[in-house]
Amino acid sequence: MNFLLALSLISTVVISTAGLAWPQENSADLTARSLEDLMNIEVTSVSKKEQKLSQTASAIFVITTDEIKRSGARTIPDLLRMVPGMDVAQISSNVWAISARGFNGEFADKLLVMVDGRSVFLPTFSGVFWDTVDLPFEDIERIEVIRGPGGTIWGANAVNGVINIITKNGSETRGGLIVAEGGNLTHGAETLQYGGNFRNTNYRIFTRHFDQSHLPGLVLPDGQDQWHLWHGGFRSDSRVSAKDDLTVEGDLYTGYFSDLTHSLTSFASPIQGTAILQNYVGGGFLQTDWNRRYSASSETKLQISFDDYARNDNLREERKTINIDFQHRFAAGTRHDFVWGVDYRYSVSATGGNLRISLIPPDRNTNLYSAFIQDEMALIPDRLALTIGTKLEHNYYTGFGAMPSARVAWTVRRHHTVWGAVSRALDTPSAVDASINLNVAGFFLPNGTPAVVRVLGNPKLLDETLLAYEAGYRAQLLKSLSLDIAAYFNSYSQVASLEPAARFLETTPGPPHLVVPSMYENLIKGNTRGVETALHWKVNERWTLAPAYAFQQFDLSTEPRSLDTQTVNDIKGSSPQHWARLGSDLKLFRSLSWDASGNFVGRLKSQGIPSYVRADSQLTWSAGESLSFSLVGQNLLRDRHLEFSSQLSSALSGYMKRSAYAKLTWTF
Amino acid sequence: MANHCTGCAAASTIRETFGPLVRAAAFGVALLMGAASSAAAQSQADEYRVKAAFLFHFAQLVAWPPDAVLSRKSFDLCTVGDDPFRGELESQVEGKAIGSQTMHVRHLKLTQDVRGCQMIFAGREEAKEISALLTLLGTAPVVTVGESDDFLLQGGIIRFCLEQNRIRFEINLDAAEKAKLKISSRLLLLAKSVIGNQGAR
Repeated sequence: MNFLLALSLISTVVISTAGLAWPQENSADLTARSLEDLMNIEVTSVSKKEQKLSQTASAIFVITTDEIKRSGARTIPDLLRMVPGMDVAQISSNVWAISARGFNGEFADKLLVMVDGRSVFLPTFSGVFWDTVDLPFEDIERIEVIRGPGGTIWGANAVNGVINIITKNGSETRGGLIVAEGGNLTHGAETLQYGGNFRNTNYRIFTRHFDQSHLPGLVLPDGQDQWHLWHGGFRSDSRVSAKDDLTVEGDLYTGYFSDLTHSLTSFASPIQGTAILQNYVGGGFLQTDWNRRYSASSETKLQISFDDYARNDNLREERKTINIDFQHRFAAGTRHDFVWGVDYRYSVSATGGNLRISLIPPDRNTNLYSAFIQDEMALIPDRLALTIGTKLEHNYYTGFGAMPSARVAWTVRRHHTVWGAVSRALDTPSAVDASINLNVAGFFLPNGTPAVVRVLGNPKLLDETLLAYEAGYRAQLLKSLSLDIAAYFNSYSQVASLEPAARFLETTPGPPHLVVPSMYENLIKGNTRGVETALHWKVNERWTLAPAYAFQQFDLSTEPRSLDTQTVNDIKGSSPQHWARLGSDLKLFRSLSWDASGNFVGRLKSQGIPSYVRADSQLTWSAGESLSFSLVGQNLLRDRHLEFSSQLSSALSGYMKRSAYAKLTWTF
Repeated sequence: MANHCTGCAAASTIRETFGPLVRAAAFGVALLMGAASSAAAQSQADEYRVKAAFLFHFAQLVAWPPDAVLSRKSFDLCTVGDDPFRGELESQVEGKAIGSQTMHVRHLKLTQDVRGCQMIFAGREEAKEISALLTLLGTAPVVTVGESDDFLLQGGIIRFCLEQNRIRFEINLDAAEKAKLKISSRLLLLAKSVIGNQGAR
């Protein structure tokens, strides 16, 4: 058991260090010191955000600019592997399964993903196409990841987690930037960017391209899953007046990728085949954010975004979405901090579909509107805070739903916070849940009649509901050692199962064939529980270690009238029970640093995937502020292993292989 | 564009170093390194704990016009909006003597309540409030201390900055003169830079 070994090593280290004394200045009266003395003290800074974070009553983890720079990650999913307990599994070169606290899959539907507050989560299947969530890493300020529900503010589908990718203000990216990388998996990736300012506006404009090679496939030596993406975008930040800030950003992308699929090709022989799909994607968005500060204790935000995307895969969807979001935060007295908001979204979708997959009806326009209010009460200022709130949301499929929550954070003493929360979250049906017509597989009956196994959407599907109980503890144990523990007990009801329906003979398209259908119904319930822990240990000025461990257990079952014997096992067996990580960041010399990480992921029972350890390493040499060169190795321990292989995935899995790339970053 | 070979060669070296024995040895060495260097670590302290002490010294090294002091027993040190000190000001300076006055800390939610403050601190988070605050103060004899980039250019008097994680400060002499405040030469000497008509350094 690798992780046990790692854990015992970590705990030994922690215990042995706890005995060491750090010289600290915090007990002394500093006013007695001279100014000259004070000017010599090295200070440790905690930003307002960090301070707020340490007192937040939820399992929040922030990936910082610096961590992004040192991570060796090539993609956003790679970055998410550092989040304690996050389920990140790569299916093929361009497909990922990402979730938190279980329910993982290519079409994982309980994680909300946003970029600068704009949802990139697709209502078609309530998930994310990670291949188009692409940004120059140099422009990301931070990634905030919340494990656990966030429905009170973000609405339906923020069930098991929320990810918000926040990009840098234009004032932080002035000047030119050239990034070039290449290796055995990334054949080439280039970013060109220029940032400048004009009067009261800071702006940047970038273009980016990458060419990603294929992985070895599960059935063929060449998984045929290469992908390419061209991406261009801009962001401008203006100080319109002393009170008003305006941000406008947008991008355009186009790309193509291939997928190797094994599926139904016709109702005649050969009924199934392996096909290489060439898919095109294209899209873009335009977004404006207007922030106005009326006083230190009152501000409003208005966000309007327009998003357009087209994906020429089996479903061939084109979707346009407009979203308007307004929020007002204000303090009432010294004890109450209110935030309320309204949101409206209109989305137009048209799909093509083919023999394998289609939606009935193919086109659909949907409205989504919601309102929320939340009050953060300082019961004892800076010590005890109670946050209560609720969101009321109306969606196209199931109408109104409420997502209330109550959170308490108690700062026992400086740098020691205990928190707890109870919240309700909803996973509303997606277009796929309500109207899919998916021919999973075909076969011939003994009498020669073709038959097809079909999954049918259910327009009457209800919301999946979650009642989540969470608790956590965050502490700065030593000047150099901080601890973050979160535990949860999630109670789910009305989770979708797949129930067999009456078989029937279908004549069109010919030849006549027997349909063996199953349909989504809300017949699974049960609970999941788990613990996520993370340590951050600054061993010394040069070296930081970040060990983390997570455990989760699922106890789900079907209602007595259900005939589904598969889904519960799939859910249970698609997320690891144990997860552990050790991250290390070492500054070897002034200009040379070495970062390494190892992730242990427990076995995925229902998929027959054994546990594995994944190791990544990055060596970075910086020549001053403007030039840096890194060598990155990924998956260093094993050349061939699977991370995820679900029958429900659209693409066939690929083997992760050992890879290396070199990256040059030049700012001027 | 970087070439293939460099990357692959590095990967194989790294693979070797990842052998369990090497890894364990490296861990042990690094652990010793860590313990040794932490024992020799220099003094460190929380940024705002130190800044609180700086504010105390500023109060001692600035001379207020006599009429601004005579009328008051309490020296009000105020923070505006978000208070990054989180109790450090109270623990470091509350009740301490500044000449004949006693220091008293006040946290203001709104800039409008600045009446009576002799020194005002506006943190990083309040950058947007500063022009309104300074307009409101006009030429009143109040030492304004800030952290935002253009604090001095906007008319603030003392600005904190960090240099290699050590606290430094800059002074705007023009603004101090307008507020009829006399800043001691000792403070001016220690400042990282001084702007104003008495010659920039």
